[in-house]
Amino acid sequence: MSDLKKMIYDGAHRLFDDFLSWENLKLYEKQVWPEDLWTEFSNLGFTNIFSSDDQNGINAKWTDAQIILKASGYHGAPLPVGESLASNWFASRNGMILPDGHWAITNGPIKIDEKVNKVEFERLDVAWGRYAKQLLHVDERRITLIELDKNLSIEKLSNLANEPRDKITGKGKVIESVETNLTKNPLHWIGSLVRSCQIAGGAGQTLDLSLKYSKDREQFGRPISKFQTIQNYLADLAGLSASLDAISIAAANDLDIHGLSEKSQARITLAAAKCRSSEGVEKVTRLSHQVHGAIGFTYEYGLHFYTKRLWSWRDEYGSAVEWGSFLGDIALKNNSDNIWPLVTNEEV
Amino acid sequence: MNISIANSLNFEPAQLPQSAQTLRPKVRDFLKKSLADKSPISRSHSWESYDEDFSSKLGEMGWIGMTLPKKYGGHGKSFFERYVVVEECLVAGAPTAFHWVADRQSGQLLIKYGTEEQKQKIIPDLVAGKLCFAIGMSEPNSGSDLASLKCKAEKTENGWLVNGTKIWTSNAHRAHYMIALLRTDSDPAKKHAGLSQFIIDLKNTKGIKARPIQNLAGGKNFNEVSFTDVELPQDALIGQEGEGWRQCTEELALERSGPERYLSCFFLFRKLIESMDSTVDTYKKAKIGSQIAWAITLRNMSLSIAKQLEEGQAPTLAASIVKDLGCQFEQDLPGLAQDLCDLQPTNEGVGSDYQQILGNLIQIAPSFSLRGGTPEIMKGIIAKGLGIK
Repeated sequence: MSDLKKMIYDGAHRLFDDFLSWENLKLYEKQVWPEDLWTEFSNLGFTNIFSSDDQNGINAKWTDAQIILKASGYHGAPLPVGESLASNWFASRNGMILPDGHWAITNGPIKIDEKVNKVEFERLDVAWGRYAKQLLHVDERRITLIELDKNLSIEKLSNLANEPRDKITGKGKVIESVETNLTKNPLHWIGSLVRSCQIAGGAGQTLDLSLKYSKDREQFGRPISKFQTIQNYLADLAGLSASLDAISIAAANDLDIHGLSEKSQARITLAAAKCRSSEGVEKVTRLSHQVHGAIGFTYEYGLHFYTKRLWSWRDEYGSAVEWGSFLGDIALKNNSDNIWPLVTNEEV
Repeated sequence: MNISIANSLNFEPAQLPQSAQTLRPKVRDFLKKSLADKSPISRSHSWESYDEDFSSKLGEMGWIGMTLPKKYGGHGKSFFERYVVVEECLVAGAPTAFHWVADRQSGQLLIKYGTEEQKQKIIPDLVAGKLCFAIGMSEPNSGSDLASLKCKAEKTENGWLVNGTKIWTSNAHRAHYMIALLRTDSDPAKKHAGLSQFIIDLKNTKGIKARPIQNLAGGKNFNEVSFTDVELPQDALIGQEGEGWRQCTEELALERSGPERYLSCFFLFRKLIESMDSTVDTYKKAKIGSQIAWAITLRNMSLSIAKQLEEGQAPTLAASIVKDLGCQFEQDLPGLAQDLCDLQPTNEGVGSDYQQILGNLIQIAPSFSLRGGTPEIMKGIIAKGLGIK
């Protein structure tokens, strides 16, 4: 790990460790916005990480950012961490400066009246939308920062872990708009990487908790970690967790190298990462709950803070079937000689 | 901060150096030409298919023993260049069994622990693709519990006297050398410390009998090898007496994380895709895509270990994880093919190429989780690495 990565790793884990005890996670599940934590997160420069030096950023790459995403998944951070990093990446690479600590982002359809710089939208998907004052809209051609009107109509929805997944209807005005050239539906691709990394982090937490519990819990006169069946569960969980970690880092790395144009080779690795992580959730959650027995099924014990996120993230920004069929479609349309170059990530 | 096992299991991405990338098209080109007249069924045997001529041609190209030092005729290349040659051979279904063990581990072992004379005598021929090596580890009563092995080597005036039996030894009936793990101390307190490694010249040593054992598909690759009062010279000992277990474990790290641990069925996968209609439903497409996603994941993990080996690390835990996951992946493929494509598996000589390849791989797939350490052993090593065993 480079010095920069080590710094990011230590900073993120220390911050989340301080703030995200199970007691606090219980509180935040009631959908209280963790203002102190968000301020600290922002103060550490994480909301600005992709920006250039003169914008107080560090010109980070996705291989750096994935460390923050994994830490947020590992600790079940009840914040729009992924949305914030995605916003910062889209804006900074297109020369747009966002207000400090910005996070609200969407790719849903909006109507822009260019003459008066007004926008209108209906049931727009915005994670944590109820707290948003500005909104970043991204598509393959244009990135637009919008000041939201005060009188929005908000459907307060949420995922299984009570993370806000709102739909907002109303109007706003364009603050700034820049042209870009990205793959279609770019937020879906970046979102898929964000969730892949968070799933890898969450899976790591379930592994660590399961290991600890198996050493503490005694049955038949010895710790259950001494039973071969439990050891096999934990070995499988570790292998799976490591594999999700590996593929999400590989995807971040390929995105750094190839970018996100319509022809980018990174799209293959990004699709593979979300396909594998979404698929992996099934077994990761099953094994970790099995090792924990009944205690893991209670609200009191905190395993569910992570498994509920995993179950939701599995579908967010594309399921295993969606990303799998994307890859399968390419494979079946190609000459079979080109299947292997897909795996080695060559241009086909 | 809490100690996290999860966050210490790192598979840092490894980028292939330019030298390895430019090698790939050359290897592909060579394989396309030299495999043109091979039958699809023989290509589906992949690294268990034995062909002396092919191995010497590969040797002529400079693609065997690539990482061995130039001083002994090796090519002094990185692990990554070797990696590219090996993965391209596997995917093309090249018959690599003749030089497989020599290239993967025996050459490295001899460079590290062999005598100067052994290196000078053996390595040049090995690199030329003229030598076949066998691995003498398992015995009739020592499978997963390898360290319980009994085949013994006793010190004599002139060298060593070997008696006992090895089993499941691939290619022993035609190999030039065997690297064997033998018991040099029968004190029960020295289960592991009583083991040593030896090199045995199978062509020029008396008292060795190799009896081929037919596998369930009719193939005859592996053997039972008996040693009756076999005399070995003093320098047949490799490395230190009593260090055999440790040396062997190092060798196994090379054995467990390579591309052969997930690519054994890739030729079938290609044929499956050829046999499928591109208009199949989303669910079937997703199944194919999911296998590709797995292959990409495993390749990244395996390459990451190649990088760690190149840097001189010994990633035992990570290598065991790759072996365990890779094996699940390649064993899943034949069944998936049966589900996705409505063509029955057949034996050799009956049905289409695809059907024969499927028939062959369904039958040999059970061996994937037996060779190079079983999942039971892999999970044990992983559990140990997790601190619960």
